[in-house]
Amino acid sequence: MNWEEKTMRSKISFFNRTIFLKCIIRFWPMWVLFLFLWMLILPKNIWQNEVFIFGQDSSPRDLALGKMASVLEQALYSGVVIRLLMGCFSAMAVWGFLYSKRSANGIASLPVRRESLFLSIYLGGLLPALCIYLTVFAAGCFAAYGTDLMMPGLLFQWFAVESLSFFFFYSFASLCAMLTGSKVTLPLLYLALNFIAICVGYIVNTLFTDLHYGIISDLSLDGGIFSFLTPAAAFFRYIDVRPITDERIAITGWGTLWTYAAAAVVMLIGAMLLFRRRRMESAGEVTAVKGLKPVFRWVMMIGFALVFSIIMSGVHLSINGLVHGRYWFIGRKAYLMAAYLLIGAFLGWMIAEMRLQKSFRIFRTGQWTTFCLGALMIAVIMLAVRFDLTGVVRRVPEAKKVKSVTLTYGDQKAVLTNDADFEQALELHRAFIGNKDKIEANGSLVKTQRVVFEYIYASCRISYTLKDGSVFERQYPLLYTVDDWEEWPEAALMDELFNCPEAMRTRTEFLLTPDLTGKETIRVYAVMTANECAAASSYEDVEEYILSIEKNSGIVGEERQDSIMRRIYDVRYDDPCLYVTYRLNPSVLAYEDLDYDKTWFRYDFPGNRESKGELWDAMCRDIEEGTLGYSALLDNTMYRTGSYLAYLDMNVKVGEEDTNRNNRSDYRYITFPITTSARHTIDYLESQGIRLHTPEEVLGQ
Amino acid sequence: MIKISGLTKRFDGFAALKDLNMTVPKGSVYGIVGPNGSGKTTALRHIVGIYRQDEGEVLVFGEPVWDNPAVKARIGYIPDDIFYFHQSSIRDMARFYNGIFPTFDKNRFKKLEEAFNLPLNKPIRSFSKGQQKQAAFWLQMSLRPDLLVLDEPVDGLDPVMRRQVWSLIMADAAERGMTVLVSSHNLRELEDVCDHVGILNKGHLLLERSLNDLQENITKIQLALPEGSELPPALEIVHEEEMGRLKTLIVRGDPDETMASLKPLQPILMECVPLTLEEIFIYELGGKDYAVKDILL
Repeated sequence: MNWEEKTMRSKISFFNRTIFLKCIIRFWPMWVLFLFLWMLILPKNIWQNEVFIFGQDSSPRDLALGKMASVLEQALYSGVVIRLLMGCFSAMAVWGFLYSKRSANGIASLPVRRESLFLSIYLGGLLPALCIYLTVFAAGCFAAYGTDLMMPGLLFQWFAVESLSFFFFYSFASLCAMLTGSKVTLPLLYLALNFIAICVGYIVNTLFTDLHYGIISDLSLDGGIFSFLTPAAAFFRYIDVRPITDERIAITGWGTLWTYAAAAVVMLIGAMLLFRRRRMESAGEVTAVKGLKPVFRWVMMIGFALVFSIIMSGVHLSINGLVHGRYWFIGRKAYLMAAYLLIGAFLGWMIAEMRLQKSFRIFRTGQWTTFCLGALMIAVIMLAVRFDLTGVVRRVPEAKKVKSVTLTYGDQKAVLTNDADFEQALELHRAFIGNKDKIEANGSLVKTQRVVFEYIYASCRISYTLKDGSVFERQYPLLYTVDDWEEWPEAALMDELFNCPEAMRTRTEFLLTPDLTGKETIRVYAVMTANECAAASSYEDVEEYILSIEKNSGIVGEERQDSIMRRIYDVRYDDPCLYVTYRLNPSVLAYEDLDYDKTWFRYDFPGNRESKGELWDAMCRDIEEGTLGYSALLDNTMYRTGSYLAYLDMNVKVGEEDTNRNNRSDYRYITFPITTSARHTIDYLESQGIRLHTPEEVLGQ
Repeated sequence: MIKISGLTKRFDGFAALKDLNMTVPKGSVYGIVGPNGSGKTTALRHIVGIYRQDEGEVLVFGEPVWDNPAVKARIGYIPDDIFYFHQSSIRDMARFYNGIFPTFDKNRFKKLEEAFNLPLNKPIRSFSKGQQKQAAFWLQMSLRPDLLVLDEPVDGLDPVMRRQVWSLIMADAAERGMTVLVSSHNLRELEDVCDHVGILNKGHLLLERSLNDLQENITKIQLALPEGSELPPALEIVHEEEMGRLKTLIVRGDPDETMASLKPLQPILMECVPLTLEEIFIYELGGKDYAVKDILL
């Protein structure tokens, strides 16, 4: 055969067997390791579970399904990391020739069409992995053969998931390989692009919310678009083993898989087009595509600016404490943040120039225009943020467009649907905005200074549901000192709104509805007075002391409910201590007046769905009468005289579970102070020997 | 065989080749000479289809070479930096080339084993630089290419192996009409083998001639004239040296005509001496304001 005949063959071919085989043979140790790893993860685990099942007296189908689900879950979860890394390693191996001038030129001089070269090399990295998955699938079937774990369909699903996922990660890495000419840059680029969505989402969101007073993030990084655009996160989140029926389990998340597989096809085509036009002289360069150099500069500059500023915010947070750090960025300190962004941008620009020019001497030859434009952009954005040029901070919805307002403060919630309340809610909103400067100033207080309720996370969230169905939300930090809090107009407005009849009703009415399907223990906290603390210290243990109180109150015999758990509760520690039977340490009972939230009695009234107990009934009667459900935001007259230093605190379950094990119920936590007008509740508690004291009584001692 | 017209190639704005025009006749041994950084390797990489030109055209066997397997299959290429797979032996590479190049000749490969005498199964990376070069010659000569492109080919080879390699190449060129394109920064190296030479400097060709043309146009004459004799004014003397009565002249023009014009002076001694390639270039281009000495030396 003469050369004309022979070369005709290669001219029409899209595949070169020699290059394909060479590709596989050259990297066989990598594939052997890959196979070994998967053998350990799947067939070995199936086999081990099989041994375990034989060890049982019986091997019901449920047990087998559970074990198989567990083995596959483990394989799928570990598979995400393996695929992510193996996709990169195999691309680095097969496309490695592109990063050395010698081998890039050597391969490019071969009489093989670029398309043929690409497909042969690409398949040389893909097919071995698919063969390994097939081998592991066969080995898995073999390990499960003759047992209840023999579920070839399920194992085939695993094979399909792994193959499609590897196809995606490998194509992704191959596309990255075509964008760069440097072996070091390839894994960095691949990892950066894999996690870019979630990282940029997080950083931009954090900076945006930190720099804008009152703005809260409605961005969910766990799930949603950011999670979906982060392949590893999406595979973790959406690909799972779930029961389909009582007799069948299956791998779910095929929509995600096929979407990613389609993306892989697009990336594969993109990679091939880039390879066809690839300049072999780009070996050793950061970017292999001409137009990417300015993109690289900008990406490095913006990326470094964001990362550097977020790191510096973290450093500031850890140095200055949470209160100082969290609100440090608001307002005036935006200038310092701008400086961090500029420094970060400069670092990014410098590194990009060094990489592109392969030299440290970049200051004379670097593209300063890019940096200057970037710096200008940062300056403009930061000025816009500082002076709220977009008006996003000052924005308040129009009252006529509001359908309902929900105020949230800690555990307390107020749902408002009356127009009159809307105006008041908007007034509160405007008051927060109006006091921005003061709050910013307080935000710079050192951490040793106390803020209201000593509760550093304290904030008020205002959530408007508008008539067009959209939601408008803001959250304002309550950075007020204990001394000046009550002088602020927001304090009184919040107290009014949280305790208006509608808010009280909406907060408590669900307790009276049939929706309530279960309740757990109701806890009653009642403060201990100085006298009680002093008395307690003379008893051997807590139980004995509480019994003495009950005896003194005339609670004896059958009247005493043994099911009530009686304790003393010390909240002075981060992890509050409960004292039940042993002798109390005198330090626990050392009473310091004014700080009356230190040592409390705690009574746990057990309850269940069938029998909610007498306390529950009493509480419901008070709620119906509108005498219980007050929200204690302020240490004001109402709190000091109209309510006891005692709380009801409970978790309740609302909604039913459906038959298909889908949980439609949810738990709600609710707590409110026992008001002096809640007669039914007070009567019952007194009947159990529980003494309640108003703040005034406690402070008056 | 090879026709390059208007070839321009830029790297990051720097033009490595500027409007390069070059023609390599079929069956010739063409030497491309130039100092380091003149663009020799870049030009060769275009000719073997590694680089794609920014502007211009590169035709080999009358066809564009880039991404053209039919053309590339007929080209053997030995770069300065030899390509082989990291773990591969000569046998592995021979198998690889056999699968890739339709013209790979196994018999020739076996025959050349005697000439090169290198271990077949030892990884090429463990060879010395000279041995690696020999291995590359072995493999490329087994392809029986119609065009052999050599980039600084004999660097690292000992004199014996140099002669052997060149004799193999020349035999192939003579036997099959193989065209050889060889680059070097040293003109002396090419003197004995090339029949065509091109001088490349700063990305474009200063001169491209066949050796015959060059030699026909310039003459080196050593002569001793009787006292008081004057050289004919019509002679275009490029260079003149005098040592006692012995003159050495480099004269532009046909050697026979030059000799004939000197005969009437009845010289005591007159001899036409062959010029070295280096001398031809120095004197041919010396007057054209080119720093040819810098290029060649």
